[in-house]
This record gives sequence, structure tokens and C-alpha cells, in this order.
Amino acid sequence: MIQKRQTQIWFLFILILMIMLLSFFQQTIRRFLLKSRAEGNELTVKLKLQGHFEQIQIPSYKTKVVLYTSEGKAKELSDQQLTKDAENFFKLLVSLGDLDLAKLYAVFIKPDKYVGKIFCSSNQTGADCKSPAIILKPRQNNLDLSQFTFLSGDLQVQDGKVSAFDLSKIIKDLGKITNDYLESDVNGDRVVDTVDYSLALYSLGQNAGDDVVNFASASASPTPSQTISPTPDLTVTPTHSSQLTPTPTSPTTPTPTQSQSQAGTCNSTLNGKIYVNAGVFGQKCRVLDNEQHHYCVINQSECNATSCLAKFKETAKQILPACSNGLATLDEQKTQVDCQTQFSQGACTPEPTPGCEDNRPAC
Amino acid sequence: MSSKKLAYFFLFFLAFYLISLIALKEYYEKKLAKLSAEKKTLQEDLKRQSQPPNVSLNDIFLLAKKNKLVNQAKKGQMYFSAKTNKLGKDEWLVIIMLEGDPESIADASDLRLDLDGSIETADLTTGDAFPLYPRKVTSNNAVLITGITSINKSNITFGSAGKTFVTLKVKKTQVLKVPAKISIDPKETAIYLNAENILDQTKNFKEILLY
Repeated sequence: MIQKRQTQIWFLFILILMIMLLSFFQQTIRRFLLKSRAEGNELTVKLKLQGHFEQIQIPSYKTKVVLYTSEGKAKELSDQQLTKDAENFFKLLVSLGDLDLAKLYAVFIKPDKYVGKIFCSSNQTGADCKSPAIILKPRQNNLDLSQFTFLSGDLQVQDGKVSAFDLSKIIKDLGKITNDYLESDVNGDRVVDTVDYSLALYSLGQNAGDDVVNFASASASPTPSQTISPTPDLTVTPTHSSQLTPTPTSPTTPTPTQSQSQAGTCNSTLNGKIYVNAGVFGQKCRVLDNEQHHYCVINQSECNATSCLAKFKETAKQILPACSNGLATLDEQKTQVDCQTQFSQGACTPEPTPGCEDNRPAC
Repeated sequence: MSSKKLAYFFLFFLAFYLISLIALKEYYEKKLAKLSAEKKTLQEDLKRQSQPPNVSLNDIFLLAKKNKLVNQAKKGQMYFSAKTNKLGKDEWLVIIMLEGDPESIADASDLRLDLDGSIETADLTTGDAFPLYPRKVTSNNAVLITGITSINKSNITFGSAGKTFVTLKVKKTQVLKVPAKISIDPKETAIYLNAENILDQTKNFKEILLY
């Protein structure tokens, strides 16, 4: 009787233990059992896109992917997500479904805002891609195409080439900011600026267009019909460097006449930081590092730190709104500038009126 | 089942349970670490997204200048005109002008010319209608030139009318009884302002005959 009781207790104990074990393992079991059914055949492609994306948050591009065999188009997938990975390359995960893995494939990839490229293998693209040679295996396939750069500039509605129309769209949208999709924001940094212009301009200079697909009856997106012996005068004109040189602040003080013997030039050296409120673009801070200026004064007493500072601020308050259509203004409270002056008697040539250029380094 | 067997059974399960506990602990710790890293990245991205985009002062000045120029300009259509100068027996100079109101502007333009098989382009020189010509492509039977607005820091220069777009030197490669012909490709030729095609097709030249 006691033994029987003992047996029952042991049995119960082991049962409870097994249930506990199962509960720990259920996730693992689920993953193991369901893995082979749900995962299927996949192709992971690594790409490089024209542009710098290090500072850009989660850029992703909808991408068209077309798989070709030597007979023609085998599978077409649209709106595939191309996303940035940790190394600033882009990754595309394509579900191959029930594709016949016994054949050889070529893959045509066309991201949004970029021109499309055809690949017969990981090192054959464009005109070199004459015959499909990609072997696909069951389950996972990896294709590293990062040695080739996709050129940007083919904006919506994509016509397979970068043309004057695409550049015109970017120029039209210059300055636009968005938290959503904007076709002319080529690099996905939420603003249409000179970087987008430069990217598309480079592609235009290369006469960029979709690769032609020549397999059997296949034809990919239309290619521009030009080119053969191009005379590309590829001029990028990178435009914008946020590198700067100071925008001098020359007040429009009248030139002192030479007949006033005490008149002269007040040479000033500015150091400090200037803060500019730029509306929706936030606040900008610029460093003044031994910046040299001069202005004309009637007598030596006008050449002092106080008047120098006043003139500097007055000029900044005039120039900033004028150059930015009222958007940018001087933040007088935060701006901290130190002015050292030195008077030199004699004829004075006023400093030229500054242009609308920001050449000072950022803080 | 005897107590001894049950005891062995129990010990086996206990051992199995302890080993799997350790293995799973490691697995989930790694997973947690990966998820934490992912969470951190997403949080950083969200933080960046909540900040205003990185726009420089030069970009702001550029935008103001661009808007000013576009608003000041006269809105109107433009077109291409062509004139020819005979240089020799079988050689011509073809000058293509960008025409329109002198106060009108364009931000980009494509011009595609198709040459008949009897002539070829010997030389191509861009004009001053646009400050920048990033694309000049010639082949045996076609010429494609693109003029673009130039942007340099905070300076922007649009294309303007009444100036030369391109000058071509063409020469005959075949002697034919009929005049050689250069025709404009209307589908690939356009003049844009604010992404709108402002090319006046009615005034635009259709073809050039070279006698």
C-alpha cells in the first residue's frame, strides 16, 4: 500500500516536472516545427545605394524585383522593402515562393528614386549581364551586390532614366521638409536640399538609366534610347558644402571724408558664437574665430568694443532676414561675441557688403 | 515501477531539466541583449526624427533666393529656334537658341535632335542659356543635351531666354541629292520650370534642312 502510494507520488511529481519542462521548451519546439514550413525559400540581397546614409534615420525604399531566366520573366515582385543595415549598406529580403530552383536566374532590382540594374551574378551587371547565372538553393540564399552602386534620380513617375524633369522636380521642391514620403527627397533625410540635387545631377551626368534586359522576350523597364559615344561632360557642381567662410558684417557706414583728419579705419577682431533662429529648421550656432573686419569711423572714439559689437549685431540683423526671406533672425540673447578693436588713422575703404553665404564653422 | 527505477527516472529528468534551464537562460539572455540593442537603435532613430532636419544656413539662403527669382520671373513659355551657317561644301554650323520672354526662366531642359543618316556631329559647344550642361551625348544619329540650373552654396542661377543653348558643327558623311535633315524629337525635348513643361510646341522648330 505504502509502495503504491509512493509510486503515485513519484508519478505525479514527474508529470509536473514534464509539464514545467514543456512550458520552457514550447517556444523552441514551435520554432523548430514551424520553421521548415513557414520560412520557405528566400533571397537576401545586399546593395549599395548612391548617397551617404550614416546620419539618416531608417531610410527605406520600396523596390521592384524581377527574376529572369533565359526564357524570360519568371517572377515579378513590387514594393519590396529595401532597408539600411548597420554597415550602411542596404538589404532586401525576397520571398521566392515556389520558384523553380533548378533554373539559372538573373535579377533586376529597381529601388524607388533610383535607376534599375540587372544582375546575372554577383559580379555581372549591366551590359556584362548576358545570360542568367544565379543559382538559387532551397531555404536561404545570399547575394552580395554591394560592389555596384545604384545611381539615384529616377523620381516618380519612374520612367527608367534620369532626365531634366527629375532635376526640375528637385529644384522645385528645394527646402521642403517632411516626416513622410517626398519623391524629391532622394536620400530620405526628410529635406529636399542641395545634396539631393547633387546626387541626381551626378546620375544625369552619367546619363543614368535602367539596364536593358536582353533575355529571350524579356524587357525590363524602358531604357533611354540615347548614348553610344557619349561626350559626357560630367560636372557635378557639388554645390553645397556646409563648410563655410564667414559672412562678414560690414555695416553701411558712410566713408569718412579724408578732410577730417581724425577719421580712420577701425579694425576689429571678433571671437565668440552667433546664434541664428531659423524657424522650422531650428537654431543654428556658428563660431567666430578671430574674424577680421573693419569699418570706417569719423574719429578714434568711435572705435571701441561697444560700437564694434553694435555694428556687428546691426549688420547681422539686416543680413539674415534679407538673405532668408525673413526666416532666419539673430538670437541676440544667446549670441556671445567679443570684439577687439584697433584704430588706424587715414583713408578708409569700407568693407564690401556681405553676400548671402554662410561660411562660418558650426559650434 | 519500483522506487529505484522511479528515482533514476526522476534524477534523469532533474538533470535534463537543469541543463535545459541553463541553455535556455543563455539563449534568452542573448536574445534580450539583441532586443535591447535594437530598442536603443530605434529610440535613437525616433529621437532624430523628432528633431528638425539638418538644414544649413546656406540652404535657407538658397531657398530664399530661389523663391525670389521664381516669383520675380515672368511666367511664360519658351521654345527653341535654330539657324544655320554654311562653313564649307559639306559642313554647317547649327546654332540653337533658347527663346522666350527675356524675363522668363527655366530650371532644366532636355533637347534631343535626330540626325538623318547622311550627317554626323563633328563638334558640340554648349551655350550660355543655362549655367550648367551636365549631359551632352552624341551618337551617329542623335544628340542629347541637358541644361540645368546651377546651385553653388547659396547661389542659384536659372536658365534664361534669348541665349544660345548649343552650337553644333555637322558635316555630311554621304552625298545625297536631297538636303540633310536634323529634326527635333518632341517626346524627349522639353523645357521645365517648377517641374512643368513650358515648351511652346507651336513655336518650337521642327526640323532643320541643310542644303
